[in-house]
Amino acid sequence: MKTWLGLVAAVLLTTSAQAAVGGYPVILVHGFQPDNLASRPTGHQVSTNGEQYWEAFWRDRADARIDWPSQERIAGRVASDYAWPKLQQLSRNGICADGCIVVTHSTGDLVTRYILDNQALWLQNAGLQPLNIVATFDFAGAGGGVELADLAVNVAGGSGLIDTTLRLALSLWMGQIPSPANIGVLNDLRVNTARQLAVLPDDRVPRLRFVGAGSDFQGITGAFLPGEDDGVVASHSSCGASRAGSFDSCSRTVAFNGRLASQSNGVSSFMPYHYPMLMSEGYSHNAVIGDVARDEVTAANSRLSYQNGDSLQFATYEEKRGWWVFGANYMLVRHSANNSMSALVYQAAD
Amino acid sequence: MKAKLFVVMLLLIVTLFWWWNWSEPVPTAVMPRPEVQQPEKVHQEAASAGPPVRLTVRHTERTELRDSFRLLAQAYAEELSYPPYSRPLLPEDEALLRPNDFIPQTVPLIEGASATVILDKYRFSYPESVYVRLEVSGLDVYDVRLQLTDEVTDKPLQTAVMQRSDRHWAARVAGEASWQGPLLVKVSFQAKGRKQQLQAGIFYSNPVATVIAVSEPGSAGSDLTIPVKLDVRQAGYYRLRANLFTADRQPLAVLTQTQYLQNGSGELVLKAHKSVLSAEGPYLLTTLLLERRPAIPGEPTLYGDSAQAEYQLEVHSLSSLSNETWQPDEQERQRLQFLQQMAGG
Repeated sequence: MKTWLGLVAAVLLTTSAQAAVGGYPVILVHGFQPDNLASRPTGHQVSTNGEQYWEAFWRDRADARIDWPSQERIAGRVASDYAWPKLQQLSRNGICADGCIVVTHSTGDLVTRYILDNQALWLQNAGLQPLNIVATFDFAGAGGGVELADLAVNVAGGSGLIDTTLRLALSLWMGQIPSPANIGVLNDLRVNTARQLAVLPDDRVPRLRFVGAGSDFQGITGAFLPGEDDGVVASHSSCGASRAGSFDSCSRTVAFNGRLASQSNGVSSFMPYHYPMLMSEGYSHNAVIGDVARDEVTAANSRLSYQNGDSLQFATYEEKRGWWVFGANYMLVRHSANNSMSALVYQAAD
Repeated sequence: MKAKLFVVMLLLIVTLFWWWNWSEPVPTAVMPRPEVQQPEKVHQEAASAGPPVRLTVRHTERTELRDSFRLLAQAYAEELSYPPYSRPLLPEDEALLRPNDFIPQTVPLIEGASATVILDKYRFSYPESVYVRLEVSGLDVYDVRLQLTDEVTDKPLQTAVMQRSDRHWAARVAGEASWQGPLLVKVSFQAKGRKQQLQAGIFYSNPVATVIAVSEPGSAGSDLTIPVKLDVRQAGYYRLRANLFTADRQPLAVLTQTQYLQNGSGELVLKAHKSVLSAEGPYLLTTLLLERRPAIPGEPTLYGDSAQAEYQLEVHSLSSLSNETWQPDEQERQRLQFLQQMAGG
């Protein structure tokens, strides 16, 4: 019976393949779901939550998902009880045998980094073929940690002297203040802890970063985040910066709104194999995986550094000052006014 | 007089605005030119009448997403010219140069006050002690106490009363051999009749293996080989990562090797590809990070330590190394091909 069900599941998984990025199947890894801390979902509910998480755009454009509940730890039961069964299934079904793309959002970035670091060893030890992950598309990635998680963990320990606005900001973000016994993946999202988890996976999978700088919380949460942020994650994390800090852009030469000007507080060094791709001022943390165009988008990697320190960059147009005294030069991605950031990426790969 | 002042102020505003707009010009182009680069729109935001005069011309360039992928493909191709076990290290690679930094997080308190728990590093090895500081600004606090607990079980491990010095509160607690895993550093204090607890996470480990020596480097093809001797107390898959520096402490490369090691004496051989050895030896091998990796999901990562913080490597000449360039493996070539495909070529 179990075998029969497994075969049916395998067939469903295989035949449900309905979209691809650059010809490769797509695997989704979602982010932190604050309500999980109180509801503590398990089993089918975790899967249902995962399906709802991606329904705005990516759900119907993916071949599989790795769903996990936020009350668990990444290296603990997220890995053993949720990621591992799916990794085995993907290996057995051969979905990634010829290559696949992993699309992540928020904490899914950190979960995926841990998977990238370990999946080959785990699957080989189980006598299975490692997944051939070609690239990851990381939307609002939280792999460099989330300052709000540090603050939430502290407030969970008692809020006798905590700033009132901070409590409001955490309530806006999470809908609740967690209890000390119910922190779950927030522990992994603390900046120190996140930046110590699987720092440099052996597999050199390119990690493409798509970053917003809007907010769903009227900027209230941003007051507690360094530099630019998307209302939840600071740019040091979403851009993939090699250190935590206050950064105003993922680039040294272009601002979040596309303005071409030197960004003295732009990120200059990134985590290994992390590449900023697109930025936009108008997209909030959740809007980056939605299907609504919020703002125009700029190329975040108009200048990249080779690993040997040399740089390469777009040719920008010849600077023409003319007689105009006041001027500003912008670089924006074509068609970004009418397409969501996710749609733009998906269409480019179609 | 008022008219003169108005003119001077106007000139000042104009000058400041001009400076703001143009003082930091975009760097001159040097690398691949996107296909669509001509200004397609000139947007004028002008106040047609009445001061203050603000005339902004917005030049907008349109680029294609494939241009980003083209640049990315070039950067990734350059990464692949080095072996994964021998990656160039730059002064900006802060996370790799200082992999054990503790990043303090400041917590905002009432009335504009704030408090920060600070530790010297993130990962500690037995028998190291743990030194904890609390910095508070804008609030007089008292009854400051420290408690270390096991993060997984929440079992209290150690307590101490923190003592006040000039600008902070501090306490040092001795480590114990039984501590193995993530710990919570909890600091509680009182102010204005209310109690507050702050916490930070660290990792404490009783080392499961120790780097005891580094042998004389040798050569194999285009690699400088660096044998590292270990004493292994818990068999498993070990990953050793170490930074290679010039003798005058310029970073050269981060070297990585993973291997299954049995209990007892073991050896891991780090390799530095000739392409990262931009300077002749001697070299320094430093920042050693020894991990016992989880063999199955759910197993914790454990850590080893090193008898010395750094090892000097006597290398008399690189002439014995061949000049073969590194060839990426099939999966890496496929990744590059994907990026090139996204770039439209």
